[in-house]
Amino acid sequence: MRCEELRRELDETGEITSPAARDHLAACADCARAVALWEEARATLRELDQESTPPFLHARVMANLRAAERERLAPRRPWRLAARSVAALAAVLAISFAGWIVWRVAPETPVPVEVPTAPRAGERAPEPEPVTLPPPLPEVPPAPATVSPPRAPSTRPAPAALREAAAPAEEAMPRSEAEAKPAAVAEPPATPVALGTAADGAVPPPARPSLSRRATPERETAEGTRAARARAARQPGGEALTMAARSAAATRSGEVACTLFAGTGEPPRTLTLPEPLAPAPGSEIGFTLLPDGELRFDEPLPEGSEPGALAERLRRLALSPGDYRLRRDG
Amino acid sequence: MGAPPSPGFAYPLAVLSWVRPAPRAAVDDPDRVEVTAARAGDEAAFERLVARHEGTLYRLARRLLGDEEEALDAVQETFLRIYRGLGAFRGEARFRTWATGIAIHVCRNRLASASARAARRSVPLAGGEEEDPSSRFERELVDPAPGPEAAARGSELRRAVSRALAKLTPEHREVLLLCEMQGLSYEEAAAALGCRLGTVRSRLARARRALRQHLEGIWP
Repeated sequence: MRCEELRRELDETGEITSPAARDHLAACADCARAVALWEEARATLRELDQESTPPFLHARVMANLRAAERERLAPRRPWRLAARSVAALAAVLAISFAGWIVWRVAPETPVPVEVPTAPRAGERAPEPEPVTLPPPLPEVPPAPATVSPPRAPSTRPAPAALREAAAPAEEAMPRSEAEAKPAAVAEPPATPVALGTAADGAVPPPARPSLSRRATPERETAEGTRAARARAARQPGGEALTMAARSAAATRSGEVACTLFAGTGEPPRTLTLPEPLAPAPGSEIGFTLLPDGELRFDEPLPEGSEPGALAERLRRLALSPGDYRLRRDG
Repeated sequence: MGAPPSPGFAYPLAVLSWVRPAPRAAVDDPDRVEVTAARAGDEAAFERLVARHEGTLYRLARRLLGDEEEALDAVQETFLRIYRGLGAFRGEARFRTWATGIAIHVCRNRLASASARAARRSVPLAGGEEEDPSSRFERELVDPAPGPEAAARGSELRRAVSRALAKLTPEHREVLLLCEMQGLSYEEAAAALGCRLGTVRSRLARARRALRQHLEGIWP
Protein backbone atom coordinates (compact mmCIF):
# COMPACT_ATOMS: atom_id res chain seq x y z
CA MET A 1 0.00 0.00 0.00
CA ARG A 2 1.15 3.47 -0.79
CA CYS A 3 0.86 6.53 1.40
CA GLU A 4 -1.88 8.07 -0.76
CA GLU A 5 -3.98 4.93 -0.47
CA LEU A 6 -3.61 4.93 3.30
CA ARG A 7 -4.57 8.58 3.54
CA ARG A 8 -7.60 7.94 1.33
CA GLU A 9 -8.70 5.08 3.55
CA LEU A 10 -8.19 7.31 6.56
CA ASP A 11 -10.35 10.06 5.05
CA GLU A 12 -13.11 7.73 3.93
CA THR A 13 -13.47 5.66 7.07
CA GLY A 14 -11.88 7.81 9.71
CA GLU A 15 -9.76 4.92 10.98
CA ILE A 16 -7.23 2.33 9.84
CA THR A 17 -8.64 -1.18 9.89
CA SER A 18 -7.27 -3.03 6.89
CA PRO A 19 -4.18 -5.30 7.43
CA ALA A 20 -2.39 -3.73 4.47
CA ALA A 21 -2.75 -0.31 6.04
CA ARG A 22 -1.47 -1.57 9.35
CA ASP A 23 1.56 -3.08 7.64
CA HIS A 24 2.22 0.23 5.91
CA LEU A 25 1.96 2.12 9.15
CA ALA A 26 4.59 -0.08 10.71
CA ALA A 27 6.98 0.86 7.94
CA CYS A 28 6.10 4.51 7.23
CA ALA A 29 6.81 7.06 9.92
CA ASP A 30 5.05 9.94 8.12
CA CYS A 31 1.86 7.99 7.77
CA ALA A 32 2.11 6.82 11.35
CA ARG A 33 2.48 10.40 12.54
CA ALA A 34 -0.44 11.56 10.36
CA VAL A 35 -2.67 8.78 11.68
CA ALA A 36 -1.69 9.56 15.25
CA LEU A 37 -2.48 13.24 14.77
CA TRP A 38 -5.83 12.39 13.25
CA GLU A 39 -6.74 10.10 16.12
CA GLU A 40 -5.88 12.82 18.58
CA ALA A 41 -7.91 15.32 16.64
CA ARG A 42 -10.82 12.90 16.47
CA ALA A 43 -10.73 12.42 20.20
CA THR A 44 -10.60 16.15 20.65
CA LEU A 45 -13.61 16.51 18.41
CA ARG A 46 -15.50 14.07 20.60
CA GLU A 47 -14.47 16.05 23.63
CA LEU A 48 -15.85 19.20 22.09
CA ASP A 49 -19.30 17.70 22.48
CA GLN A 50 -18.71 17.41 26.18
CA GLU A 51 -18.02 21.08 26.74
CA SER A 52 -20.10 22.73 29.35
CA THR A 53 -22.83 25.09 28.34
CA PRO A 54 -23.73 28.44 29.82
CA PRO A 55 -25.58 27.92 33.09
CA PHE A 56 -28.41 30.19 32.00
CA LEU A 57 -29.02 28.33 28.75
CA HIS A 58 -31.91 26.21 29.99
CA ALA A 59 -33.66 29.07 31.76
CA ARG A 60 -33.26 31.30 28.75
CA VAL A 61 -34.64 28.72 26.35
CA MET A 62 -37.62 27.94 28.54
CA ALA A 63 -38.35 31.62 29.20
CA ASN A 64 -38.33 32.24 25.48
CA LEU A 65 -40.67 29.33 24.91
CA ARG A 66 -43.09 30.45 27.62
CA ALA A 67 -43.12 33.98 26.29
CA ALA A 68 -43.90 32.69 22.83
CA GLU A 69 -46.61 30.47 24.21
CA ARG A 70 -48.18 33.33 26.15
CA GLU A 71 -48.16 35.43 23.01
CA ARG A 72 -49.76 32.64 21.07
CA LEU A 73 -52.43 32.05 23.66
CA ALA A 74 -53.15 35.73 24.23
CA PRO A 75 -56.75 36.69 23.46
CA ARG A 76 -57.20 38.05 20.00
CA ARG A 77 -59.33 40.99 21.18
CA PRO A 78 -61.60 41.27 18.18
CA TRP A 79 -63.22 44.37 19.66
CA ARG A 80 -60.09 46.32 18.79
CA LEU A 81 -60.57 45.68 15.11
CA ALA A 82 -64.25 46.55 15.39
CA ALA A 83 -63.47 49.79 17.22
CA ARG A 84 -60.93 50.79 14.60
CA SER A 85 -63.39 50.05 11.83
CA VAL A 86 -66.10 52.12 13.48
CA ALA A 87 -63.70 55.02 14.02
CA ALA A 88 -62.62 54.96 10.38
CA LEU A 89 -66.22 54.87 9.21
CA ALA A 90 -67.11 57.78 11.48
CA ALA A 91 -64.21 59.82 10.15
CA VAL A 92 -65.28 59.20 6.57
CA LEU A 93 -68.87 60.20 7.38
CA ALA A 94 -67.75 63.36 9.17
CA ILE A 95 -65.58 64.44 6.28
CA SER A 96 -68.38 63.77 3.81
CA PHE A 97 -70.89 65.74 5.91
CA ALA A 98 -68.48 68.67 6.23
CA GLY A 99 -67.97 68.71 2.49
CA TRP A 100 -71.70 68.67 1.91
CA ILE A 101 -72.20 71.56 4.34
CA VAL A 102 -69.51 73.62 2.65
CA TRP A 103 -71.04 72.90 -0.73
CA ARG A 104 -74.47 73.96 0.42
CA VAL A 105 -73.43 77.07 2.32
CA ALA A 106 -70.91 78.43 -0.18
CA PRO A 107 -72.37 81.30 -2.28
CA GLU A 108 -72.57 81.15 -5.98
CA THR A 109 -69.42 82.01 -7.77
CA PRO A 110 -69.61 85.69 -8.63
CA VAL A 111 -68.84 87.00 -12.04
CA PRO A 112 -65.17 87.80 -12.14
CA VAL A 113 -64.77 91.54 -12.06
CA GLU A 114 -61.51 93.30 -12.47
CA VAL A 115 -61.01 96.05 -9.97
CA PRO A 116 -58.51 98.59 -11.16
CA THR A 117 -56.38 100.37 -8.69
CA ALA A 118 -57.28 104.02 -8.50
CA PRO A 119 -54.47 106.52 -8.10
CA ARG A 120 -54.43 108.59 -5.01
CA ALA A 121 -55.60 112.09 -5.32
CA GLY A 122 -52.83 114.60 -5.58
CA GLU A 123 -50.19 112.03 -6.21
CA ARG A 124 -47.66 113.21 -8.69
CA ALA A 125 -46.84 110.90 -11.50
CA PRO A 126 -43.22 109.99 -11.95
CA GLU A 127 -41.42 110.80 -15.12
CA PRO A 128 -42.05 108.08 -17.64
CA GLU A 129 -39.22 106.28 -19.21
CA PRO A 130 -38.46 107.45 -22.72
CA VAL A 131 -39.89 105.01 -25.16
CA THR A 132 -38.83 104.72 -28.71
CA LEU A 133 -41.47 103.21 -30.86
CA PRO A 134 -40.79 102.06 -34.37
CA PRO A 135 -42.54 103.87 -37.20
CA PRO A 136 -46.08 102.75 -37.87
CA LEU A 137 -46.73 100.03 -40.35
CA PRO A 138 -47.80 101.36 -43.70
CA GLU A 139 -50.97 99.28 -43.89
CA VAL A 140 -52.28 100.46 -40.54
CA PRO A 141 -53.62 103.99 -40.62
CA PRO A 142 -53.05 105.92 -37.45
CA ALA A 143 -56.30 105.85 -35.61
CA PRO A 144 -56.54 108.12 -32.64
CA ALA A 145 -58.31 106.78 -29.66
CA THR A 146 -60.16 108.52 -26.97
CA VAL A 147 -59.61 107.65 -23.39
CA SER A 148 -61.97 108.94 -20.79
CA PRO A 149 -60.99 107.74 -17.40
CA PRO A 150 -63.78 107.59 -14.88
CA ARG A 151 -62.22 109.65 -12.14
CA ALA A 152 -58.52 109.96 -12.66
CA PRO A 153 -57.31 113.19 -14.13
CA SER A 154 -55.32 113.22 -17.28
CA THR A 155 -51.82 112.23 -16.58
CA ARG A 156 -48.67 111.61 -18.40
CA PRO A 157 -48.65 108.73 -20.81
CA ALA A 158 -47.58 105.33 -19.67
CA PRO A 159 -46.19 103.40 -22.62
CA ALA A 160 -46.07 100.13 -20.77
CA ALA A 161 -49.67 100.53 -19.81
CA LEU A 162 -50.46 101.36 -23.38
CA ARG A 163 -48.89 98.18 -24.55
CA GLU A 164 -50.77 96.33 -21.87
CA ALA A 165 -53.99 97.93 -22.98
CA ALA A 166 -53.60 96.61 -26.45
CA ALA A 167 -52.67 93.10 -25.45
CA PRO A 168 -56.14 91.62 -24.83
CA ALA A 169 -57.42 92.79 -28.14
CA GLU A 170 -54.58 91.19 -29.96
CA GLU A 171 -55.00 87.95 -28.09
CA ALA A 172 -58.63 87.81 -29.09
CA MET A 173 -58.11 87.91 -32.82
CA PRO A 174 -55.49 87.30 -35.47
CA ARG A 175 -52.94 89.95 -36.10
CA SER A 176 -54.28 91.07 -39.45
CA GLU A 177 -57.74 91.47 -38.01
CA ALA A 178 -56.38 93.25 -35.00
CA GLU A 179 -54.53 95.66 -37.16
CA ALA A 180 -57.59 96.38 -39.27
CA LYS A 181 -60.11 96.78 -36.45
CA PRO A 182 -58.88 99.64 -34.27
CA ALA A 183 -59.95 102.41 -36.59
CA ALA A 184 -63.46 101.04 -36.84
CA VAL A 185 -64.07 100.58 -33.14
CA ALA A 186 -62.48 103.77 -31.95
CA GLU A 187 -64.89 106.22 -30.56
CA PRO A 188 -64.91 109.78 -31.82
CA PRO A 189 -62.03 111.44 -30.10
CA ALA A 190 -63.08 113.75 -27.39
CA THR A 191 -59.50 114.60 -26.69
CA PRO A 192 -57.44 113.36 -29.56
CA VAL A 193 -53.90 112.60 -28.67
CA ALA A 194 -51.00 111.92 -30.85
CA LEU A 195 -48.46 109.22 -30.53
CA GLY A 196 -45.30 110.28 -28.86
CA THR A 197 -46.63 113.44 -27.32
CA ALA A 198 -45.75 112.44 -23.85
CA ALA A 199 -44.85 115.90 -22.76
CA ASP A 200 -48.36 117.26 -23.13
CA GLY A 201 -49.82 114.69 -20.85
CA ALA A 202 -51.90 113.02 -23.52
CA VAL A 203 -52.25 109.31 -23.90
CA PRO A 204 -51.28 107.54 -27.09
CA PRO A 205 -54.04 105.52 -28.67
CA PRO A 206 -54.08 101.78 -28.05
CA ALA A 207 -54.28 101.07 -31.71
CA ARG A 208 -51.07 99.25 -32.40
CA PRO A 209 -50.86 96.00 -30.54
CA SER A 210 -48.52 94.48 -33.00
CA LEU A 211 -46.19 97.42 -32.88
CA SER A 212 -46.23 97.54 -29.16
CA ARG A 213 -45.38 93.89 -29.01
CA ARG A 214 -42.46 94.38 -31.28
CA ALA A 215 -41.28 97.40 -29.38
CA THR A 216 -40.54 95.63 -26.13
CA PRO A 217 -38.80 92.27 -26.14
CA GLU A 218 -39.96 91.47 -22.63
CA ARG A 219 -43.48 91.13 -23.95
CA GLU A 220 -42.42 87.90 -25.54
CA THR A 221 -42.75 86.12 -22.25
CA ALA A 222 -45.49 85.74 -19.72
CA GLU A 223 -43.31 87.31 -17.08
CA GLY A 224 -42.91 90.33 -19.28
CA THR A 225 -46.66 90.57 -19.57
CA ARG A 226 -47.12 90.45 -15.85
CA ALA A 227 -44.42 93.03 -15.33
CA ALA A 228 -46.04 95.36 -17.83
CA ARG A 229 -49.39 94.97 -16.11
CA ALA A 230 -47.83 95.72 -12.78
CA ARG A 231 -46.18 98.83 -14.16
CA ALA A 232 -49.43 99.91 -15.70
CA ALA A 233 -51.24 99.54 -12.43
CA ARG A 234 -48.58 101.49 -10.56
CA GLN A 235 -48.44 104.42 -12.90
CA PRO A 236 -51.01 107.19 -12.51
CA GLY A 237 -53.54 106.94 -15.21
CA GLY A 238 -52.71 103.35 -15.76
CA GLU A 239 -56.14 102.28 -14.73
CA ALA A 240 -57.59 104.64 -17.28
CA LEU A 241 -55.41 103.19 -19.95
CA THR A 242 -56.30 99.70 -18.95
CA MET A 243 -59.92 100.71 -18.95
CA ALA A 244 -59.56 102.10 -22.43
CA ALA A 245 -58.00 98.94 -23.66
CA ARG A 246 -60.69 96.93 -21.99
CA SER A 247 -63.30 99.11 -23.61
CA ALA A 248 -61.77 98.51 -27.00
CA ALA A 249 -61.58 94.78 -26.40
CA ALA A 250 -65.15 94.65 -25.12
CA THR A 251 -66.39 96.60 -28.10
CA ARG A 252 -64.73 94.15 -30.42
CA SER A 253 -66.33 91.25 -28.66
CA GLY A 254 -69.82 92.78 -28.97
CA GLU A 255 -70.08 94.09 -25.43
CA VAL A 256 -69.61 97.46 -23.84
CA ALA A 257 -67.15 98.23 -21.11
CA CYS A 258 -68.69 100.07 -18.22
CA THR A 259 -67.55 101.31 -14.86
CA LEU A 260 -69.56 100.92 -11.73
CA PHE A 261 -69.07 103.63 -9.12
CA ALA A 262 -70.15 102.84 -5.60
CA GLY A 263 -71.46 105.44 -3.24
CA THR A 264 -70.19 103.40 -0.33
CA GLY A 265 -66.60 104.46 -0.92
CA GLU A 266 -65.57 101.24 -2.57
CA PRO A 267 -63.26 101.53 -5.54
CA PRO A 268 -64.97 101.54 -8.93
CA ARG A 269 -65.44 98.28 -10.72
CA THR A 270 -65.18 97.66 -14.37
CA LEU A 271 -67.48 95.29 -16.15
CA THR A 272 -68.64 94.54 -19.61
CA LEU A 273 -72.29 94.52 -20.56
CA PRO A 274 -74.16 93.68 -23.72
CA GLU A 275 -75.09 96.68 -25.76
CA PRO A 276 -78.81 96.60 -24.84
CA LEU A 277 -77.99 96.65 -21.13
CA ALA A 278 -75.27 99.28 -21.16
CA PRO A 279 -75.98 102.96 -20.61
CA ALA A 280 -76.08 105.21 -23.58
CA PRO A 281 -72.80 106.91 -24.47
CA GLY A 282 -72.19 109.80 -22.24
CA SER A 283 -74.94 108.83 -19.78
CA GLU A 284 -75.13 107.04 -16.49
CA ILE A 285 -77.57 104.72 -14.80
CA GLY A 286 -78.04 105.21 -11.12
CA PHE A 287 -79.50 102.55 -8.94
CA THR A 288 -79.82 101.54 -5.31
CA LEU A 289 -79.33 98.07 -3.99
CA LEU A 290 -81.48 97.48 -0.94
CA PRO A 291 -80.44 95.19 1.89
CA ASP A 292 -83.12 92.71 0.90
CA GLY A 293 -81.54 92.37 -2.53
CA GLU A 294 -84.03 94.57 -4.36
CA LEU A 295 -82.49 96.79 -6.99
CA ARG A 296 -84.16 100.08 -7.77
CA PHE A 297 -83.10 102.33 -10.62
CA ASP A 298 -83.00 106.03 -9.86
CA GLU A 299 -84.61 106.91 -13.12
CA PRO A 300 -86.63 104.93 -15.58
CA LEU A 301 -84.46 103.37 -18.19
CA PRO A 302 -84.89 104.63 -21.74
CA GLU A 303 -86.95 102.86 -24.31
CA GLY A 304 -85.49 99.63 -25.58
CA SER A 305 -83.57 98.93 -22.41
CA GLU A 306 -83.93 95.76 -20.46
CA PRO A 307 -84.07 96.75 -16.79
CA GLY A 308 -84.81 93.24 -15.61
CA ALA A 309 -81.82 91.74 -17.36
CA LEU A 310 -79.59 94.58 -16.21
CA ALA A 311 -80.79 94.21 -12.65
CA GLU A 312 -80.10 90.51 -12.75
CA ARG A 313 -76.68 91.14 -14.16
CA LEU A 314 -75.91 93.65 -11.46
CA ARG A 315 -77.12 91.36 -8.72
CA ARG A 316 -74.68 88.73 -9.86
CA LEU A 317 -71.85 91.08 -8.93
CA ALA A 318 -72.52 90.37 -5.26
CA LEU A 319 -72.62 94.04 -4.44
CA SER A 320 -73.17 95.35 -0.99
CA PRO A 321 -76.30 97.42 -0.39
CA GLY A 322 -75.93 101.07 -1.35
CA ASP A 323 -76.07 103.57 -4.16
CA TYR A 324 -74.29 102.94 -7.42
CA ARG A 325 -73.75 104.66 -10.70
CA LEU A 326 -73.04 102.76 -13.88
CA ARG A 327 -71.19 104.67 -16.55
CA ARG A 328 -70.31 103.63 -20.04
CA ASP A 329 -66.62 103.81 -20.81
CA GLY A 330 -65.25 105.33 -23.91
CA MET B 1 -60.00 -13.27 2.35
CA GLY B 2 -62.23 -10.95 0.50
CA ALA B 3 -62.67 -10.73 -3.22
CA PRO B 4 -59.79 -9.15 -5.10
CA PRO B 5 -60.41 -5.63 -6.29
CA SER B 6 -61.70 -5.25 -9.78
CA PRO B 7 -59.20 -4.10 -12.44
CA GLY B 8 -60.94 -0.75 -12.61
CA PHE B 9 -59.90 0.04 -9.05
CA ALA B 10 -56.67 -1.89 -8.94
CA TYR B 11 -54.83 0.34 -11.39
CA PRO B 12 -55.38 3.69 -9.61
CA LEU B 13 -54.56 2.10 -6.29
CA ALA B 14 -51.36 0.69 -7.71
CA VAL B 15 -50.37 4.09 -9.09
CA LEU B 16 -51.11 5.73 -5.78
CA SER B 17 -49.04 3.21 -3.93
CA TRP B 18 -46.19 3.84 -6.37
CA VAL B 19 -46.35 7.62 -6.17
CA ARG B 20 -46.89 7.93 -2.46
CA PRO B 21 -43.82 6.89 -0.51
CA ALA B 22 -44.39 4.12 1.91
CA PRO B 23 -44.29 5.30 5.50
CA ARG B 24 -41.05 4.49 7.18
CA ALA B 25 -40.97 2.30 10.14
CA ALA B 26 -40.68 4.16 13.41
CA VAL B 27 -37.13 4.09 14.72
CA ASP B 28 -36.18 3.21 18.20
CA ASP B 29 -36.06 6.63 19.78
CA PRO B 30 -35.03 7.13 23.40
CA ASP B 31 -37.07 10.34 23.39
CA ARG B 32 -40.26 8.66 22.29
CA VAL B 33 -42.02 8.92 25.64
CA GLU B 34 -41.24 12.59 26.10
CA VAL B 35 -42.13 13.40 22.53
CA THR B 36 -45.46 11.67 22.84
CA ALA B 37 -46.22 13.43 26.10
CA ALA B 38 -45.12 16.79 24.77
CA ARG B 39 -47.34 16.37 21.73
CA ALA B 40 -50.19 15.73 24.12
CA GLY B 41 -49.48 19.06 25.83
CA ASP B 42 -47.20 17.97 28.63
CA GLU B 43 -44.97 20.96 29.22
CA ALA B 44 -42.77 19.11 31.68
CA ALA B 45 -42.06 16.46 29.06
CA PHE B 46 -41.03 19.09 26.60
CA GLU B 47 -38.81 20.70 29.21
CA ARG B 48 -37.10 17.35 29.71
CA LEU B 49 -36.47 17.21 25.98
CA VAL B 50 -34.97 20.68 26.13
CA ALA B 51 -32.75 19.78 29.03
CA ARG B 52 -31.62 16.63 27.26
CA HIS B 53 -30.66 18.20 23.94
CA GLU B 54 -29.97 21.87 24.56
CA GLY B 55 -26.29 21.28 25.27
CA THR B 56 -25.69 19.31 22.10
CA LEU B 57 -27.54 21.80 19.98
CA TYR B 58 -25.81 24.72 21.63
CA ARG B 59 -22.35 23.29 21.01
CA LEU B 60 -23.25 22.51 17.43
CA ALA B 61 -24.58 26.02 16.89
CA ARG B 62 -21.58 27.60 18.52
CA ARG B 63 -19.19 25.67 16.31
CA LEU B 64 -21.22 26.44 13.22
CA LEU B 65 -21.75 30.13 13.95
CA GLY B 66 -18.53 30.88 15.82
CA ASP B 67 -20.27 33.19 18.27
CA GLU B 68 -21.73 32.44 21.66
CA GLU B 69 -24.54 34.95 21.58
CA GLU B 70 -25.51 33.91 18.10
CA ALA B 71 -25.47 30.32 19.27
CA LEU B 72 -27.73 31.16 22.21
CA ASP B 73 -30.22 32.88 19.94
CA ALA B 74 -30.03 30.03 17.47
CA VAL B 75 -30.77 27.46 20.18
CA GLN B 76 -33.76 29.45 21.38
CA GLU B 77 -35.09 29.73 17.87
CA THR B 78 -34.47 26.05 17.31
CA PHE B 79 -36.49 24.98 20.32
CA LEU B 80 -39.23 27.39 19.43
CA ARG B 81 -39.47 25.78 16.02
CA ILE B 82 -39.37 22.36 17.59
CA TYR B 83 -42.16 23.31 19.95
CA ARG B 84 -44.32 24.64 17.16
CA GLY B 85 -43.51 21.82 14.77
CA LEU B 86 -43.75 18.95 17.20
CA GLY B 87 -47.18 18.10 15.86
CA ALA B 88 -45.69 17.49 12.42
CA PHE B 89 -42.96 15.19 13.75
CA ARG B 90 -43.85 11.73 12.45
CA GLY B 91 -41.22 9.76 14.30
CA GLU B 92 -39.54 8.49 11.13
CA ALA B 93 -36.20 9.62 12.54
CA ARG B 94 -34.97 10.08 16.03
CA PHE B 95 -36.00 13.24 17.78
CA ARG B 96 -32.36 14.14 18.14
CA THR B 97 -31.78 13.84 14.41
CA TRP B 98 -34.88 15.88 13.66
CA ALA B 99 -33.89 18.58 16.15
CA THR B 100 -30.35 18.65 14.77
CA GLY B 101 -31.71 19.20 11.28
CA ILE B 102 -33.75 22.14 12.54
CA ALA B 103 -30.74 23.59 14.33
CA ILE B 104 -28.63 23.33 11.19
CA HIS B 105 -31.34 25.05 9.20
CA VAL B 106 -31.52 27.85 11.74
CA CYS B 107 -27.76 28.25 11.72
CA ARG B 108 -27.67 28.36 7.93
CA ASN B 109 -30.24 31.12 7.94
CA ARG B 110 -28.30 33.06 10.52
CA LEU B 111 -25.09 32.64 8.60
CA ALA B 112 -26.82 34.01 5.54
CA SER B 113 -28.28 36.98 7.37
CA ALA B 114 -26.55 40.31 7.52
CA SER B 115 -26.18 40.28 11.27
CA ALA B 116 -24.41 36.98 11.21
CA ARG B 117 -22.13 38.24 8.46
CA ALA B 118 -21.28 41.27 10.56
CA ALA B 119 -20.55 39.08 13.52
CA ARG B 120 -18.31 36.88 11.44
CA ARG B 121 -16.54 39.94 10.08
CA SER B 122 -15.51 40.92 13.56
CA VAL B 123 -14.53 37.36 14.39
CA PRO B 124 -13.60 35.54 11.19
CA LEU B 125 -14.32 31.88 11.05
CA ALA B 126 -12.34 31.00 7.96
CA GLY B 127 -8.94 32.30 7.08
CA GLY B 128 -6.73 34.63 9.03
CA GLU B 129 -4.62 33.90 12.01
CA GLU B 130 -6.89 35.55 14.55
CA GLU B 131 -7.79 33.66 17.64
CA ASP B 132 -10.91 31.59 17.38
CA PRO B 133 -13.90 33.27 19.02
CA SER B 134 -14.50 30.27 21.19
CA SER B 135 -10.97 30.22 22.52
CA ARG B 136 -11.92 32.32 25.52
CA PHE B 137 -14.69 29.88 26.28
CA GLU B 138 -12.30 26.99 25.74
CA ARG B 139 -9.75 28.35 28.15
CA GLU B 140 -12.36 28.22 30.84
CA LEU B 141 -12.99 24.57 29.99
CA VAL B 142 -9.43 23.39 30.37
CA ASP B 143 -9.37 20.76 33.05
CA PRO B 144 -6.34 21.32 35.32
CA ALA B 145 -6.54 17.80 36.68
CA PRO B 146 -4.24 16.00 34.14
CA GLY B 147 -1.28 18.05 35.18
CA PRO B 148 0.41 21.06 33.71
CA GLU B 149 2.05 19.48 30.66
CA ALA B 150 -0.84 17.28 29.64
CA ALA B 151 -3.28 20.08 30.22
CA ALA B 152 -1.22 22.41 28.15
CA ARG B 153 -0.94 19.91 25.31
CA GLY B 154 -4.63 19.12 25.41
CA SER B 155 -5.52 22.77 25.45
CA GLU B 156 -3.20 23.49 22.54
CA LEU B 157 -4.58 20.60 20.54
CA ARG B 158 -8.14 21.67 21.25
CA ARG B 159 -7.30 25.17 20.15
CA ALA B 160 -5.63 23.82 17.01
CA VAL B 161 -8.65 21.67 16.20
CA SER B 162 -10.96 24.62 16.77
CA ARG B 163 -8.86 26.76 14.50
CA ALA B 164 -8.77 24.08 11.83
CA LEU B 165 -12.53 23.64 12.13
CA ALA B 166 -13.02 27.36 11.68
CA LYS B 167 -11.10 27.24 8.42
CA LEU B 168 -13.37 24.64 6.88
CA THR B 169 -16.26 25.50 4.65
CA PRO B 170 -19.68 25.48 6.33
CA GLU B 171 -20.66 22.27 4.53
CA HIS B 172 -17.53 20.45 5.66
CA ARG B 173 -17.88 21.81 9.16
CA GLU B 174 -21.50 20.67 9.37
CA VAL B 175 -20.85 17.09 8.34
CA LEU B 176 -17.70 16.81 10.44
CA LEU B 177 -19.42 18.09 13.56
CA LEU B 178 -22.37 15.79 13.07
CA CYS B 179 -20.39 12.64 12.40
CA GLU B 180 -17.21 13.16 14.38
CA MET B 181 -18.25 15.41 17.23
CA GLN B 182 -21.82 14.25 17.84
CA GLY B 183 -21.30 10.72 16.58
CA LEU B 184 -24.27 10.59 14.27
CA SER B 185 -24.35 7.79 11.74
CA TYR B 186 -24.17 8.50 8.07
CA GLU B 187 -27.90 7.91 7.75
CA GLU B 188 -28.71 10.27 10.58
CA ALA B 189 -26.37 12.90 9.21
CA ALA B 190 -28.01 12.56 5.81
CA ALA B 191 -31.43 13.00 7.42
CA ALA B 192 -30.29 16.01 9.41
CA LEU B 193 -28.54 17.66 6.49
CA GLY B 194 -31.26 16.84 4.03
CA CYS B 195 -28.97 15.20 1.53
CA ARG B 196 -28.21 11.72 0.23
CA LEU B 197 -26.16 9.12 1.99
CA GLY B 198 -23.49 9.14 -0.74
CA THR B 199 -23.23 12.88 -0.47
CA VAL B 200 -22.59 12.58 3.22
CA ARG B 201 -19.87 9.99 2.63
CA SER B 202 -18.01 11.98 0.01
CA ARG B 203 -18.45 15.26 1.85
CA LEU B 204 -17.22 13.76 5.08
CA ALA B 205 -14.13 12.31 3.40
CA ARG B 206 -13.25 15.72 1.95
CA ALA B 207 -13.90 17.35 5.32
CA ARG B 208 -11.59 14.92 7.11
CA ARG B 209 -8.86 15.50 4.57
CA ALA B 210 -9.22 19.27 4.86
CA LEU B 211 -9.13 19.14 8.64
CA ARG B 212 -6.12 16.85 8.59
CA GLN B 213 -4.24 19.11 6.22
CA HIS B 214 -5.02 22.18 8.30
CA LEU B 215 -3.89 20.41 11.44
CA GLU B 216 -0.67 19.17 9.87
CA GLY B 217 0.06 22.76 8.90
CA ILE B 218 -0.34 24.20 12.38
CA TRP B 219 0.50 21.26 14.64
CA PRO B 220 4.17 20.40 15.12
